[in-house]
Amino acid sequence: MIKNVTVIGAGLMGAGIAAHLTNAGTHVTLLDIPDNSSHNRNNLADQAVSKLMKLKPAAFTLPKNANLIKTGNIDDDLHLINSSDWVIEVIIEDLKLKKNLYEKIEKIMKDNLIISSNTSTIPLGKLTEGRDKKFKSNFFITHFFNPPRYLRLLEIVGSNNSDSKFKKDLIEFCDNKLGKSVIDCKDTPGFIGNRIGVFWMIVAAEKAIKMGLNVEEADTVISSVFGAPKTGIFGLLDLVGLDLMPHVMSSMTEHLDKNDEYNLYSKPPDIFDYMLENKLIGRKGIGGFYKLENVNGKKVKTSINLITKEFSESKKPSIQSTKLAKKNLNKFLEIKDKYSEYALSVVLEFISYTLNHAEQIANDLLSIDNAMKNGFGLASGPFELMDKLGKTWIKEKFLETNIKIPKILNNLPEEKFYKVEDQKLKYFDFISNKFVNLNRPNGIILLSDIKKIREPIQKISTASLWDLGDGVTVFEIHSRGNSIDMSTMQFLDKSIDTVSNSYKAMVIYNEGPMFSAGANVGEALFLGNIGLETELVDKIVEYGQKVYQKLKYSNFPVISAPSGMALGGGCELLLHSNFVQAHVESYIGLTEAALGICPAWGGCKELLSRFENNKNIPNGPMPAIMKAFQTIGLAKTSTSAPEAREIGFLRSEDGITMNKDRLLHDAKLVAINLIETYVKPEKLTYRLPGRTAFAALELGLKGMFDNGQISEHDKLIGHQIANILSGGETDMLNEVDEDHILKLESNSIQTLFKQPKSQERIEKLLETGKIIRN
Amino acid sequence: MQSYSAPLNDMKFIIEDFLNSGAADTLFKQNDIEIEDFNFILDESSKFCEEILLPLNQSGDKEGCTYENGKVKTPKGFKDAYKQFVESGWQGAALDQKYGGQGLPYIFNVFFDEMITSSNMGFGNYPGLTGNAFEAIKKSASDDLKDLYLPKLATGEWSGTMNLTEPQCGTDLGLSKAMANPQEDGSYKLTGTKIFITGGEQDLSENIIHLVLARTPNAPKGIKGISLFLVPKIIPNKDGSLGEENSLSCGSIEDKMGIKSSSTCVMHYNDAKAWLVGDLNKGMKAMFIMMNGARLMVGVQGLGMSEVSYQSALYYAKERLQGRSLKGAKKPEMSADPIIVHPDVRKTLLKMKSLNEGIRGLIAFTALQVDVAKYEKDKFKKQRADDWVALMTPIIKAYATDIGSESANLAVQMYGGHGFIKDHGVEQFVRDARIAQLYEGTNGIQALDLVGRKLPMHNGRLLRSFFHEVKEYIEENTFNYNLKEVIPHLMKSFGRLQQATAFIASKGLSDPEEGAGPATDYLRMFALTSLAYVWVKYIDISNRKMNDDPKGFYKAKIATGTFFLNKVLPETGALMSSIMSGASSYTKYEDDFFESSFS
Ligand SMILES: Cc1cc2nc3c(=O)[nH]c(=O)nc-3n(C[C@H](O)[C@H](O)[C@H](O)COP(=O)(O)OP(=O)(O)OC[C@H]3O[C@@H](n4cnc5c(N)ncnc54)[C@H](O)[C@@H]3O)c2cc1C
Repeated sequence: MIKNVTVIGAGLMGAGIAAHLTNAGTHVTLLDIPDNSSHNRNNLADQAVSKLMKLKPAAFTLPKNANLIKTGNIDDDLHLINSSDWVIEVIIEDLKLKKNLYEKIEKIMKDNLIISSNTSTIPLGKLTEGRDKKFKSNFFITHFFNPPRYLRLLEIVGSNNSDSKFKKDLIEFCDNKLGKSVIDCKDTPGFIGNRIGVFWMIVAAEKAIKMGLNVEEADTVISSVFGAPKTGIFGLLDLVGLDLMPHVMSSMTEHLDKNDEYNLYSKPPDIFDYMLENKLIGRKGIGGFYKLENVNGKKVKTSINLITKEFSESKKPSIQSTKLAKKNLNKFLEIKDKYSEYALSVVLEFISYTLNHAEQIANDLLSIDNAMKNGFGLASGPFELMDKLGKTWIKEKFLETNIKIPKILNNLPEEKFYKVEDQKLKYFDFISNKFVNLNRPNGIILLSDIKKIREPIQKISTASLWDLGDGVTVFEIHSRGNSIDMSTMQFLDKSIDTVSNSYKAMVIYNEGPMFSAGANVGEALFLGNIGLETELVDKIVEYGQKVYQKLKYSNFPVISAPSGMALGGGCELLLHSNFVQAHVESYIGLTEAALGICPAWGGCKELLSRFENNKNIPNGPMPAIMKAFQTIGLAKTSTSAPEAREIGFLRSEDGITMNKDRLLHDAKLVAINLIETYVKPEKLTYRLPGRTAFAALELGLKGMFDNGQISEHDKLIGHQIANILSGGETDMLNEVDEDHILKLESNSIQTLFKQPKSQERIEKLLETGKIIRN
Repeated sequence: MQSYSAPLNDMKFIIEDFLNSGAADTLFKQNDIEIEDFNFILDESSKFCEEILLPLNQSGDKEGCTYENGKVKTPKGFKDAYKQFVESGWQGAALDQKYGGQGLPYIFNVFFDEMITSSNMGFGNYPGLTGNAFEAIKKSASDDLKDLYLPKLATGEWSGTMNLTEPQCGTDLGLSKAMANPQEDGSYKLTGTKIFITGGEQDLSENIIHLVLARTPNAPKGIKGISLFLVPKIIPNKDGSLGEENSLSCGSIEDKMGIKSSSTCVMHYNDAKAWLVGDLNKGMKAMFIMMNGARLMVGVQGLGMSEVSYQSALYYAKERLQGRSLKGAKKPEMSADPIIVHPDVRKTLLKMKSLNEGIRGLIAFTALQVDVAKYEKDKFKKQRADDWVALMTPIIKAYATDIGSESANLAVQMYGGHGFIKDHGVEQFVRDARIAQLYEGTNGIQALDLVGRKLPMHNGRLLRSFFHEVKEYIEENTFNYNLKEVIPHLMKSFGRLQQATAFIASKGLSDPEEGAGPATDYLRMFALTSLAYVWVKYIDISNRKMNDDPKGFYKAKIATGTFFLNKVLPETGALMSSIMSGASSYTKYEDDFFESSFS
């Protein structure tokens, strides 16, 4: 078991890895070279930690994790490695320096210390040259991607000398504790991710320049054809940092075979040199292909003209055919306009490269697809991309463009690399040239796998109910933003009946980019706009309350398993679940106030009750009310699951899963454990101060308004939330039930929904994705 | 007989009673004009229509425009009429004072255009397009262009046209091929052929300013690569005097079904000197400013045609003696009773009358919103006015022109076989009114604009301007004793409209054909419900004016409104059934089936 880790090298990457280790609860020793210019010899490592605290997106899931890092320097503190179970070297990519360090480590290391390097390009064989047998057996490459907390790919490389138990321990730790998608790689330059991924980037960039696309056009095309993030290609280069490219490229060409296609791109495009000379290295510098400029006090996004090298305002290109790319890729690649021709040439070169080197770099095609998805954010890996296009089509295109047909393609007996047979997922094993079963490791269940082999129990266009076996079902929302509209709510209602009658538990889960953005406010706004407020109340607000109550008090356990955003009505779904198993990257909040409305599917009543029962909050009614008021009024949103627990959206007993792929399995285990002994929760009751509490909250609001902290409209929203949380017309002698507060929620949201400024907020959010303050 | 007296009573009722809320008041103040003056100008303009234009209507239709050697001759009398029109300053009545207009409220324009259309629709197109061109240039062009062109357009010395259509490019403007090449001096040289250009060439104004849609080299494909250009027939000098002729020509004119006195030209541009209006590739945006105004004005043409059809039918219904009243002879001294005694005839007349008065109110209210959007300072009120106009434009364009055509046909029906004979002049109405359903975007396209663009825009925010207005009115008046007979009609059709809207919005989301399919039915339902709202308000106002009603105007209003709510509005029920049964019965109809009866 790995419990303590030493990280050597406190640069951006080393510090990031250290931070993420603490997110897993690990104690970390962070060492760098001593800073002789400072009286503090640990200055470099200390500086790194304080930089970490300010990083955006945050490196720590909780700021206090920083306390788990102990800093030091390699001259004075190298011996500390022996109180660790694993030491990771993350110093600069210089073979000599690394070897020096290893030599020192070798001299003092204990027998069972695992050692790894985070090198991205230097082969393992070179690193361990001259080391003894013990060192070699304990040594691996563990290649993280930046930023280490967020990018899920981790490449591990061992050698013939590697100790298999150490390797197993390491993989298990990185997978379970760090939440990484770990790929066992061969010892080849750039491993899988960089080998294929950097090639993809350089091809996409060069061809865009050659074929006369501008940066926005190239980014749009790449993003839609490869399902890559919006950054596309040039945006991605900005993110990665253009300054890294020459190093990576030269190290690749240095270590790779002379015939490798990388050599075709060894001379970078002129504009790269120009940009490097002018420090246009990307987001970490003054900007890169895109740059923010100040125009009349406003920040304006500009982009570089790839030919004239001048910057001008960045304009979203209007390429209509990219819609086609998403619908029918083959067709798009055949329309032969400049976008499609560009895309086709990148696609062909990319897949040809992948196919030609697959065997050399990977054990199976799964690793390659995984690497590109988890390391570069592509929606589908190269083999999945090829399955979209079909073997015959690809071969035709290769013939047309005089690209030699790669061997693997000739060996593939069918149209696609993946298939379903006898209710089993299979993939083409390019070593045996046979289809083999795709078996997920223990502890991983993917809904996307289940979807390929099974029909849902029931489904509508925005949601489905799946049978997970053992009496456990999955309620999956798959609408846009996974928002919850009227028909989804009806479907949930119906699904509760189905589970109640024929199954034993419900897990609410999906594999989309977010758990749920909340209620479909667009639908509500539309109904409001056409004056159907009664329907809005009956079919959305009060019906939603009823269904969430029904969910909470059903005769089976409900386990929500969120990952990504769970906002507004999505958060309320969690609050009404009997148990939550959250992915560490869960961003949870009751964000209604930002939209000019208030939680009205029971969010107020649930949060209030949680705070009343929270031992960390002082007794008496006011502290709990105040805390709920702040949380809801300021629309607090957690930046991680641990923080959600601190805020109070998760209970102490709710679970956290580090690896997204393991989330469904973990939730299922919880469900199975709960089924036997499940009793539905007691109904909540409250004693609330009513008017006196309301007056106190109002006073606070007035103060904030007078200080200019909140707008007139914020005050109005606060006023409504204050009324709900103080209990309306009641007093401490009176016991009120959940329905009482639900009614208050409903009244308040009706009032707020009618406000033009609330409507304006919702409208702007829907149209621009931005929250406005008015 | 073509019989027409301008409906001034009704117009004044609209101004003084119907719109006499705060908004109309401030508007008149804004424009620095008293209601009395406004009424006076209205009287004067009506005289121009009745005395000068109406007499030229039938003769103009008979003679039509003629073409010879690139020149177009308008029918006899048109030149003089246009001269008078210009000299009396009518062209600039509602245009911006900054450029020589008189700055009357926009509402004047809609009333005046209605009267012009009723009197002589063919003539009306010439000045009508000038007004639209003025607005488009004012909104989008550079100051230099504005200073040079607007004053002359405001007087009517120069006229304007809009050039969108090409042989291969009608509804789908993205197909345009006309090409403008940039020149060193910042101008362009434009080449291409445009067809169906109203007023493309004529002998009325000394210069013609063409606004032309064209693409530039390397512009994006389709609608996003279209720009708008100003192309004068004669290139003016800097001081506004006329310079050399531009290289453009009229190749021929069309031989048409109706509006024969309005020239419809094929225009050839051959490296014609042109200037960009608005931003490059944003031609549609600039053109839409013009088209929205133009669409409203085409709706007004529909009303104008419906009004003159009604009046001509009424004239005949009182004159023509056939049969006897079922209740016993009304005019025993005559050989027979006038046909107006027959229930069906009365019903036909009332249908036309009640629709005309309702539509006039709806158009006037919308015209008021155009000005409110211009002058209002409060953000939300301004937005609401803008939203109302955007929402109502396709409804008014399509529904009012449908009614124009329908009324023209009813007028022919009223005349029996005589209606079919040219001398009576009513068959001309059928021919003239028909075009309004086609140009400025066919009525089918208007319905799609309503359902596909206006409905979903800002999650239904445009709808709010109408639905909340009506809902609040209903809520305020649920217990209004005076309205106890009429409010339920409005409530019923309003409820249907809400349901249909929610239905189409949710269906259309998952299947666009389900949204587009019922678009025309939906637009009609929307229009009828809007008219119901106008009528209920009319009745409400009239009820309160009954004590001071020497001419029985208000009594008549209530009676007309009662007819509308009971006899015309129920069509919404049928439309509702059709909408709610979905579109599959025709979208899923197999293509071959269309030929099953004859092949
Ligand atoms: C007398 C006259 C004067 C005119 N004046 C001018 C002028 O001054 N300037 C100018 O630019 N143009 C002018 N026009 C042209 C006029 O605006 C066009 O004729 C009109 O826009 C329709 O185009 P189209 O005739 O090509 O019909 P098409 O676009 O070919 O349409 C044919 C039919 O198909 C329907 N249709 C087309 N697309 C769709 C769709 N997507 N969904 C559903 N239905 C569809 C239409 O509603 C119509 O019923 C004039 C035309 C006439 C006859």
